[in-house]
Amino acid sequence: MSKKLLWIAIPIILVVVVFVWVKGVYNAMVTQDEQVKTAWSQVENQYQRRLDLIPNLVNTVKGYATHEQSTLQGVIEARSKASQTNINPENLTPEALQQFQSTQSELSSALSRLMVVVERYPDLKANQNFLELQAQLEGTENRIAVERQRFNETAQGYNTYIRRFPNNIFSGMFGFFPKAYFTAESGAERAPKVEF
Amino acid sequence: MHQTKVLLWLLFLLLLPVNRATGAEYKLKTIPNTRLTDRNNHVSNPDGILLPADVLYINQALQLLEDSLGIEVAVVAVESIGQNDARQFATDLFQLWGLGKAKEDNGLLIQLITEPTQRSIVFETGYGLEGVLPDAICYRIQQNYMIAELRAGNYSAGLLNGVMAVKDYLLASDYERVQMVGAEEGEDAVPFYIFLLITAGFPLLILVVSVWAYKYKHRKRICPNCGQKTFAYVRREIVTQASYRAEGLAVDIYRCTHCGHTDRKNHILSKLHQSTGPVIIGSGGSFGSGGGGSFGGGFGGGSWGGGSSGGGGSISRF
Repeated sequence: MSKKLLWIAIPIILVVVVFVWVKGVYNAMVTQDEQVKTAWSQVENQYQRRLDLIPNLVNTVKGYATHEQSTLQGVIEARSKASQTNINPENLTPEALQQFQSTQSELSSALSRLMVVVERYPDLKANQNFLELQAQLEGTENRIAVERQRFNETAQGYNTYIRRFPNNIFSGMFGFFPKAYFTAESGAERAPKVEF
Repeated sequence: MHQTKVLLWLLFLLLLPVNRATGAEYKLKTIPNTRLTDRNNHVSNPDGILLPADVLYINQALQLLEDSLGIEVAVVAVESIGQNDARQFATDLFQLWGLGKAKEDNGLLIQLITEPTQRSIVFETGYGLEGVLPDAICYRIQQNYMIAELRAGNYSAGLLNGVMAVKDYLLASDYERVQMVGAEEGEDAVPFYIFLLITAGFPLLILVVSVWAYKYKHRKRICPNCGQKTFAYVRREIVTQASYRAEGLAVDIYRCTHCGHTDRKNHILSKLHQSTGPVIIGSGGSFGSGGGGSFGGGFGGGSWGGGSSGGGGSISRF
């Protein structure tokens, strides 16, 4: 009688234990996945902020630097390209991130070319509006650097969690895949140095 | 007790110049977070770059800002942070200290570095201040109010100008006025009259009451013998001392100064009570005896609100 009861009780206890364990792991993965997405949206916000600043900057420069059409055109084109490359946070694969990063860094280098050209126009450099736009651009570059770093930290926490044993048994099963990191590119770190 | 205090002061004085001589390169963790020992001190000035009078003005301005708008501003002035990037350093320091209220992220870090290769002034704004104090405004304040003085080497004056400009700008802005009520605020801000009442009024009350009690005890009563109002308490004689086990007995002696009539009244002394020791109110060292090491006038240690920043703000090198 008591033996029969034991044979019923043991599987039930096992099922409950496994359920509680898997539930904990799954929920932790969901939480961390959401944190990575939040960090990503912060990164995108800051890049968007930069995109929003550029038309203003271009217009201000246009008024003074009339002989720099090609440089300005380069910035405008790089901007429109960068604004078309968006990543779905569900799909943070290395390839997608790589593409995002390359269009953004193209924009960065176009901007730094512009900033070099600007040096030749003392009137522009004395323009209060331009100086403040420059300060805003610089602040935005700094924000991008900060948010990229935080994204990498969050993604690293997530990746470590889903790849550790025994969590790795479930992560693929539940559809949690490693997220890509931002990599330091030459010139992409703190793109246009606009300090004098 | 007195000697140890003197010794401590001597030790402190001995350490002071040594500290200054070695205060070359600061790391995130070694920049003193002065707020921890004195919650009214917003200025970390380990190298003595800022003049004491200016530090006082800066603290007053920043305290006003915090009391009226809830914005937490920290000022850091050091000579060198080694090879660290000044901007990155400010972001990291902001994060480490957690400037601004946790939910509002309304902190601001003003960081001055004077070493020749790194000379710069950085404003680092918390997420919640980016709207009211955008990068362009930070830059404008730095350029219009600070750079000229800083370039001339008048670091203290330049920083004071900048702080005043920030204060004026924020006070004139539409940043939401914080509610003056609320548990946290009420706890911190002890009104002056309560402070006065506790420090001066309470002993005065005790004095008045004891004088009155003495007079009441020794008041002239009507003598049962001669009927004059000259019968008064003289003294108490103890017959048996009270102990922990038994009550004691005392005799109160009354005498009339007119006719000499004497009366004795028995008085039961209550049992002694076991007690763990004397209770001393206010033994926490609130009057400059060094509880927690706050520098004169502070109400003890505090901390920043745990806010965060996203790298907003502006840097001006000079």
